[in-house]
Amino acid sequence: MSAYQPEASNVAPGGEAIRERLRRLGAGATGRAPGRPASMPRTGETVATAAPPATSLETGLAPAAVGDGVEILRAGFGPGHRHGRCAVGNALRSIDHGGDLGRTVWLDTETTGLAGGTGTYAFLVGLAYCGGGQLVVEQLLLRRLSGERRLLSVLAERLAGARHLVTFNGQRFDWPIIEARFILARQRPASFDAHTDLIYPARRLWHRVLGTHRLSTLEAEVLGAPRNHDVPGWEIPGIYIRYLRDTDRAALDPILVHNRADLLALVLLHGEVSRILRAPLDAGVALDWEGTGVLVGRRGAHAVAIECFERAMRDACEPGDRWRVLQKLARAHRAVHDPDGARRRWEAEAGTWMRPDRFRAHVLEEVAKARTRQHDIRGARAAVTEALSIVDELIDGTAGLHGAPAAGVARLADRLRARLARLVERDG
Amino acid sequence: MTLEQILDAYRTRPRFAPQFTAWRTFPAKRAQFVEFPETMDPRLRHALARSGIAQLYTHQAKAFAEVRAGRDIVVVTPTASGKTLCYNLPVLDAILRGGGPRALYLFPTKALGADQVDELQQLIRSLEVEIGAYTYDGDTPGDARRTIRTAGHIVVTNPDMLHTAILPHHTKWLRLFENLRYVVLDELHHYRGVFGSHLANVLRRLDRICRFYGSAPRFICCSATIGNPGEHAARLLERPVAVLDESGAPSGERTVAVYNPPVVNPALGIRRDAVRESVAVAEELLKGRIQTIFFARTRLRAELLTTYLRDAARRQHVDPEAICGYRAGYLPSERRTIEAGLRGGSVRAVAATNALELGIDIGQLSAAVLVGYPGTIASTWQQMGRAGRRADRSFAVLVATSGALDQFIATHPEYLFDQPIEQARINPDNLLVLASHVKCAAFELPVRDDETFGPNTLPEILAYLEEEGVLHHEDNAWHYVAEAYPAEGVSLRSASPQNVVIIDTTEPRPRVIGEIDLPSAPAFVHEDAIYIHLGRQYHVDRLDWDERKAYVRQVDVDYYTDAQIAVGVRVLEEFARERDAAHGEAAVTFRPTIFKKLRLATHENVGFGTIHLPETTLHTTAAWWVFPRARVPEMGTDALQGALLGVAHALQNIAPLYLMTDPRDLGSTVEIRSPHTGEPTVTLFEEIPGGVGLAERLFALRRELLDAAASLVEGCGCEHGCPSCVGPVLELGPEAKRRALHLLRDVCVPA
Repeated sequence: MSAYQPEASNVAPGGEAIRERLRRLGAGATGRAPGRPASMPRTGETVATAAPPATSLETGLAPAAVGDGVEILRAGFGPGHRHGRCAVGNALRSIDHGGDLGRTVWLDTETTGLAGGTGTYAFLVGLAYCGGGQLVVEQLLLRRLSGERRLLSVLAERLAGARHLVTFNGQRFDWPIIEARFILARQRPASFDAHTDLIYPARRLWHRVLGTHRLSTLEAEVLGAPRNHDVPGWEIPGIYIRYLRDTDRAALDPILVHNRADLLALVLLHGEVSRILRAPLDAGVALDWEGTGVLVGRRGAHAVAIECFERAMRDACEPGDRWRVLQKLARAHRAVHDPDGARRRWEAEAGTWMRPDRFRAHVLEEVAKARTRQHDIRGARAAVTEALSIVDELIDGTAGLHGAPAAGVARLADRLRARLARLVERDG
Repeated sequence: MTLEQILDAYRTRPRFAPQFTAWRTFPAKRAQFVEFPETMDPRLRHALARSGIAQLYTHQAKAFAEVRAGRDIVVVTPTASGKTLCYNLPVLDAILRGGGPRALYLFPTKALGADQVDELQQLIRSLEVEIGAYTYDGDTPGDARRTIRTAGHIVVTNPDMLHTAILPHHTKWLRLFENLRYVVLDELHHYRGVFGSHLANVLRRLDRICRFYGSAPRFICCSATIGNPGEHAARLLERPVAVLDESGAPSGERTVAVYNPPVVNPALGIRRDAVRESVAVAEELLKGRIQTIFFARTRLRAELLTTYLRDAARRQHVDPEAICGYRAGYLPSERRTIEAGLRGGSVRAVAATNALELGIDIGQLSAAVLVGYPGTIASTWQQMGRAGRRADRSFAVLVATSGALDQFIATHPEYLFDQPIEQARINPDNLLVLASHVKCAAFELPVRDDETFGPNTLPEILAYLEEEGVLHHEDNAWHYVAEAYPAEGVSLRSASPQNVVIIDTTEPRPRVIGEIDLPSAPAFVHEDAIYIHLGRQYHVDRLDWDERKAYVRQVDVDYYTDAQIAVGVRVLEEFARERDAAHGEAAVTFRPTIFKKLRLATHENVGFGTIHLPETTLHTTAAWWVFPRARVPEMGTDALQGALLGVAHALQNIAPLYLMTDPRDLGSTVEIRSPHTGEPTVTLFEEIPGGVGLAERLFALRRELLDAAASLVEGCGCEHGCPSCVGPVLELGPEAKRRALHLLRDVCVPA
């Protein structure tokens, strides 16, 4: 048998033949389906948005004039500029308690793909910062992919003095992409003392209330500024990729408008989150009190957290929800060194009517622990005995319990029996 | 009874002795040791000494020296010859020397990677130096991934993860790529066919990324014995590789035999069933408490074997639970239990498919029984190598089935011992494979106009991808601009990454018992099929094709099912033709038609049913032979049809002797009047989309294959045709054998 050599016939038929074979084999199926036309107003039409038009500062209008492939647009917003219920000046005041407002940069990017990875370009980098007594929104637009190095140099300059980065979902999405772009361009990525990603507090404060924590929903419901005629995020990569081919710069205007609106919403949401977390009980907006309690508890305001959790208890009907909040409440009481507060809370919960389910058994277990600490051994035994009877009932009729809950109940039964044995011993 | 006594019994008892067509004994081989290399870090020497290694085998020392000299190597030595030290020693030595070098270990499967990382960590622990060696695969938790990316000296992963998770995010792996000094490719023989073709392209991508970060890693490869390790490695790496194939490891005396079951129907050429006969042979081994591994070619056979072996175990008063099956489709946890049972000795016998052929650590067994020729000489030796102890005697036997190739081997056993082992083949330049990796490469870094990536077709592929909207050309480079993450859509293992999930609904709570790859699903889990899993029979109640789910129920019936698939072929383009033979690109359609119910043990037909499933199409490469009508005017249509089927049967069965391939990687079909050639035609096609070069090779061997098929038919002992040559006489007619031979010898002239 001779050594295998690929025969010329299989490797290099004419160019057209290769493309024809690729078509037949169905290669390249990940290419974009012909994008649907952008269904939003073009420049010149009225765009219902809070953002005023930006001025193109460093480029002419025709694509040919964009010598280095980067277009920079800038817009300013005075303190009195309102976006829904909120004004820029108030928002910046709420944020500025650490005194680093001058070194804070808000950032939002638009990209060629939503999955991440090194093949994803950030073709528009929007920045907001304070300057000259107003909020400046600056946008770096990549007019040609080959202009990326230049865009990154400008970005590095702008970020050079910043200490604090603020984004919405930037920890997972925007910033890793920017970091990757810097590495690919063989430049050093900027670094910050802190990166605040508002998606995490926003989720705690509003997800359960609004059923989502998307920026556009928060903008409408929290800031009171619903967006009209906005280009949907999933259409943006397609619009830009089309632009790369036909260089119709006007097609990008809706994206620039969208990005400016996102940045403004980011700053104002940051203001709202700061204001709420400083004094949540008087915030005057609909909040998920459980999530709010967690956030203020993390900032050390345990007394406020306790009140937040009590409000959450008022809203909670499902036994599972009540059990979850109660555990947090008990932890908060312990954090302020008030074990008795925790005990009272468990007793109160056990005293109200509850379905005899596993959550009631959990509550009774806690009551038993609290009573034991109070040396009320009889009382503790009563609570454990009731809990055990519930658990045994559940285990006998396990038709509805499968997997993890069933295993949890079994573990609970073991714990209760062990506890009962110890109590009986102490009781004599 | 000892193994010696059992072997004596085989050679003397009239029930078995006449059936052995070959019996060869290979003498024990003594270990060849050398001292530790002077240059090796003393800490490493001490750690080895502590774990009982005072000297190295010659091949380990040679590997160390070659790698130190900066050469790429491939180590080709038998199972259990201490291959892992061939790469662990130079890698750990380099890390101990400092400078922060890193290494990437690639194993074909997750299980093998996990095995190796355990062994590696033991060695590192005895070094008492902080060296991070981590597995990075689909099961690695998110928070651990960050640590591995920044702190892992040795990252153990598989080609799939490199392809989908590491290369497309290379900026996060900056530290690894900047300092990458070694890449270890173990089980190199596994990377052939479509998998190897993909891997070669993944390595082309790895090379681009390393160059970007300024590193140039050396490759340390290990392989089981194949005919062309150096060439194969060179083809994968696209540069010359030094071959180290002299093992210094010891081995005990081994006996290798070939066994042909007795003929029960001379007229029809029917021999006793190989599965039953293997169990009869193995009963002696069971009785003697000899730990034995059985290899079956198909899942069905592995399951039947398990069933029969358990019956035999009961007769020999061996716990039937000590007999296990092992094949694809078992859950990973089930497999781990069986592997541990083999190492620990609680499993006395295992009936496996080639799922166990790879380097999975199951310890050293005393006997191996191959039920049917595994398809290649290389995998025959690999499977037989599972039996082999460093000091004691071992036994391996191939039990021939009635299949054509098996009968050829059983009657020409010298072929097995004297023929060079097959060569591994890949085709990294398969257009479909290449194009999909060009796409991935562009995603990772823009492709510059002056770059090369494989063959000279790159500009055309780039232009095509731009037409498709995947790439955008600007400023002397091609940029990826599609939204989708390209690696997700490219499976390295096959063209269809999907599996059908098999769900048991016997109990009120349904549970998943296994999976089957999509192309195999119509044959195995069509509605009313009997699917066998862990030795139990399941009836397929429903196959939800769109949802990829098969719902099954446990049953106890006395039959199994065998599906019939109608195959059609359409030639799309002819690449080359020499008189009556040609090869090219083809569209092959598969239409499941009926299934037969066959009684267990007797295989008699007890009924049939219709399969209602959609037709599927495969774009692939094919080779075909033309038998001009005018040269056989005497044959009627039926006669010709039978003869063509006989030719196809013989060709398809003999072809694997010349290609390192699983018999199932080739399909065949015949046409009385092919729309493409206009003549009676026999086509062999590759089952892999786009093909991996097998068809081209078939074309190159067009004359040789016809001659080999003719001598197969001529040399067969049957009268009128049998499954060992042209196929069953009942299906083809009594004259088919003579006519097929006529077609092979006189009618087709492939230049």
